[in-house]
Amino acid sequence: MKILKRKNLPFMAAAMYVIAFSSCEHNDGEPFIKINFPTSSDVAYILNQGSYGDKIEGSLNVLDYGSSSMFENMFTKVNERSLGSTPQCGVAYGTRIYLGMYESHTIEVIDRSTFRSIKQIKLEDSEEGRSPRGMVASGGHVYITMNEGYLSRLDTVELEVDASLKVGLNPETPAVMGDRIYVPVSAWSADYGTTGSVVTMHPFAVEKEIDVPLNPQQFLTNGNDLFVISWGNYGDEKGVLAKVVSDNRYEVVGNARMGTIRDNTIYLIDNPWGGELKYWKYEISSGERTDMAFPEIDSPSGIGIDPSRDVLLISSFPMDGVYPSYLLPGYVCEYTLDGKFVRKYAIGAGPACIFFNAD
Amino acid sequence: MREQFLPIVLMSICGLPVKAVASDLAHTTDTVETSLPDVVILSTDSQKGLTSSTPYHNIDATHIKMSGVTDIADAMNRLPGVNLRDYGGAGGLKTVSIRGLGAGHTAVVYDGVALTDCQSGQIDLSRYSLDNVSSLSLYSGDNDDIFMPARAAASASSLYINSFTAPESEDKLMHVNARMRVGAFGYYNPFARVSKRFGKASYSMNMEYIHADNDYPFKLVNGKYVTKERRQNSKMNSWHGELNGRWELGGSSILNAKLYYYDNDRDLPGPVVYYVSKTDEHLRERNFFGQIQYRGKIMPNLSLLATSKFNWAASRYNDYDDKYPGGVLDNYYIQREMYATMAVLFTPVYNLSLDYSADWSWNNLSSNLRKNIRPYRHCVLQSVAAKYRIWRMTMMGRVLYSLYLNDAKDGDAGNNHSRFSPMFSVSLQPIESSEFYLRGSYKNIFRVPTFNELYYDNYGSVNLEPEVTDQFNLGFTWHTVRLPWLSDMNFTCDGYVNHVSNKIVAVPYNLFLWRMSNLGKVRVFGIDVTFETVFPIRRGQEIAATGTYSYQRAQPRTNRNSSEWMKQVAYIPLNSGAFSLSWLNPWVNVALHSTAMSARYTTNNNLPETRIPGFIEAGVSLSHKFLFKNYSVDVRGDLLNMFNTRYEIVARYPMPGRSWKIAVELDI
Repeated sequence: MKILKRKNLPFMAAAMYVIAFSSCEHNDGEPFIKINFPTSSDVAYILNQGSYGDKIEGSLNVLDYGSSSMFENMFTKVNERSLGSTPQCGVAYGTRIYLGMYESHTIEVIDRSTFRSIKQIKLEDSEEGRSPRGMVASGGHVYITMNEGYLSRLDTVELEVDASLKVGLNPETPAVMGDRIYVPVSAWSADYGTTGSVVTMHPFAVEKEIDVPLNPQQFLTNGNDLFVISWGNYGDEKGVLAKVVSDNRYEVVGNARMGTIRDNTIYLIDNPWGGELKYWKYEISSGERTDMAFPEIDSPSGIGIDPSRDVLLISSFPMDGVYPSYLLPGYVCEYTLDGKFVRKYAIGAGPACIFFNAD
Repeated sequence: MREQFLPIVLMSICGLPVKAVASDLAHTTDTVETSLPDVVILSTDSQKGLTSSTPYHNIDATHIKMSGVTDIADAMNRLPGVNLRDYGGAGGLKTVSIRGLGAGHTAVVYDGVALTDCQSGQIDLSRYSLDNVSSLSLYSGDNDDIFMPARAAASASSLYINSFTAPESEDKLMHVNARMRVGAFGYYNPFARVSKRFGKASYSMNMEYIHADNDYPFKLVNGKYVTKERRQNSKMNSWHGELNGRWELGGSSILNAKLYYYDNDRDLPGPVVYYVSKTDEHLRERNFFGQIQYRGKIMPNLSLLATSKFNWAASRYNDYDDKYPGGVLDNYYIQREMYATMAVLFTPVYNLSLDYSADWSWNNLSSNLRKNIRPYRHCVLQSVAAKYRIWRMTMMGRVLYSLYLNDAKDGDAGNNHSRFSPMFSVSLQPIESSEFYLRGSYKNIFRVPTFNELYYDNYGSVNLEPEVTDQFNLGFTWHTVRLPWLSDMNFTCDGYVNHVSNKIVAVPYNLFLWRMSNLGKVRVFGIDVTFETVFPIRRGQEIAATGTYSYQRAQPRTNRNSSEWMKQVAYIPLNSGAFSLSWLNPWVNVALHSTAMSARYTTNNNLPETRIPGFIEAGVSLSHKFLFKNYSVDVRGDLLNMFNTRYEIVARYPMPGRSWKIAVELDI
């Protein structure tokens, strides 16, 4: 074994040193895989938040009803770059999809059929909101709540934020009813708020504040009735669904943390801190409450009802041992409106926002 | 043969086209003459590393200069089994965990007294200046020295930082050590130490200031796009001062006193986020402590060690962002500690030592948070230890009794805890004529939950139990002078198994609400290997080489059905190591050094996308000491990360690429 001669020892030592740590490769320029696109325009969108600090990217995923397939991570595959940190909200409006990234302070405008980025709107230097939290589209505009306390209006022709209004600290998911936008003001950074801001579209102005339960997160409307889901204080004050009766009055309907509305029905998930997971639906006209069951779901993270099909989607974190995991890839389940399980789709980590083709 | 050996080592390890050193290696002894500024010997601390019954590794000031150590983080990377969390840049948070146990299990002992942080349980090493360090010592497991405060035995591992607290010479002249260091990315660091002896008393005073812009460039890879960026909002201004007094009271009794103040005002760059470059987060940390320590013989076979300390620490975190009321998040925390300890050492016969140590401490935390319950804690520790030497064997045993009493002025307090913790170690020299030692040790210890883990709003849990560790170590050490081409070599090898139970982990109720719970179990297998050696070249010239290698297999073992089961614990590399090669000569000393780490994961699940690639980073240091009649001037230049390796230790926190530092030091 001539190679083991002493004079070769330094070479061997150096080689071992390099081999032992040979994983010091650079990870730039990773090849991207061949892209498959949905075959139909009949789709739903699921936005994953990922876990940025853990190097798990967020993603845009497309559920194609036509082929019963989930097309994962479409933005990154097409554009060969990251969507950004913490994708938070989105709407499909006209021929485009608008996505808001909370920590990257960006809005991506992408083509609805090719998923190619049309414009990335950077909000980092904006003094009127940088961190998108919720979106709603109406009348040629996309309205975006910004965590810094603003409701921003995005012109869908110019693709620019053309106006912003101060609506209150930490606004969340808004809703449009008539020519008004209802903005829940969670004020989580100031011990939680109990108001919603009402904004008129024409003119674009704050009209008034209305009373809502503690820590409002989402307004829901079918065009006639207005509801709000509030999360309480994560302690003794539970999350609830409440009907807004007047500016100064609301009626609590029941416990809930997530919900989706179509026509006369609201589908709700009550997932209290450390408590029992419950599903129920609320018939608005009759006031009837019905318990429901959605099998296959471990730890629900989002719910959405398709406006044009009798399809209900619920996203979930997977279980890892006895606890839900926010790092492992999650999934989305498809149900009929009476809760019958149809199909389960694998999806990336942290599914959080489900939205549909709005028009 | 040897003429080939040295340049090959230089080139192969560091990749440099080093000129062959045509040397006559016939001189194997007496090669060090007075003109050689840094005399390399395997020191008494090296000897302790051989004979210690528990793994002990030391870097002293000479070694720090000789091997091109640049800062305290670099020094830690040269020790085996150390996993350093480094967020990059001067002044960035740097914490250490030893042998896969987490930073909360490592005690940091500064000039004889363990530092504490009741809020986070972690000590930020970046605040301790390497310029004032006389030695850094790492004990993995218990301390082989039984005569110490009980608190020093109350952690799984301990890192001792000893500073220059008295004049190094016996004369009565005033000694001044002044140093100016400048470096890349707006770094400048003046330091001065003054010391003087008055009969049996002496004092030492030092002060240091550091400014760093830390706006180093890095490459950001975003899919197919690679952009050159710079770290933003990363500036720091820090200063610290110390006043040390020392009185020799007669016999071998010594009284030491210290006043310490530290102030660091820094911007926090945060993680690198795609499409965003600005952050507006700031942290100001201040720390004051005063301590007094008596050590001496009160009877021929009875020694006393008594210490008291008061510590005050404040931190203020500001995040300027419109998402907060008034446009700013302002979190202000103050910790206070009172501490007293006494240890007596009884040596009834020459080969038996007995120690009893008792500690009391009181810690509290207050803040301006909405939920400020003002928690506090009394802690009583008592330790009984014995060390017995027979034949060529040394045995050491200790039992530590710990009592933690938690309370809060305005809310529910955590549970009280009491426990007995045993440890045992043995060292054996099987052959009298050979400096070969076998050693084995066992230590059971725990860490109590930190105040953050107990009380943090919507996160802490007052029902937490302590996190318990069991450590087993088996190893050998060897010192040889017998090889013809080697004058001196120390070699240590230790294998260990650590078990952690009741590990405190954050458990999700949902995405928005996590609670701390005692759920985790972790098992760590590991091997630590070190060597240090000296190759004499010719009169006045030596090559000194040191190296460490660590293998750590840290496996979560909480739940078989979990994806984490038996994977690698987040941020712990399987392989890590360091190497330094120093050519000491009368002209310009050269030190080449390298640290390396294999890939790690950001999560215990070890998902492929959470992998952080491994790296090898290398640097070179050149220095020369100009000797004059009454003073000396030491000039040193460092090229850090000379191959501009791009790497991260913490995900999304890029480390600096190639950079430089120049230091001029005046010794009078």
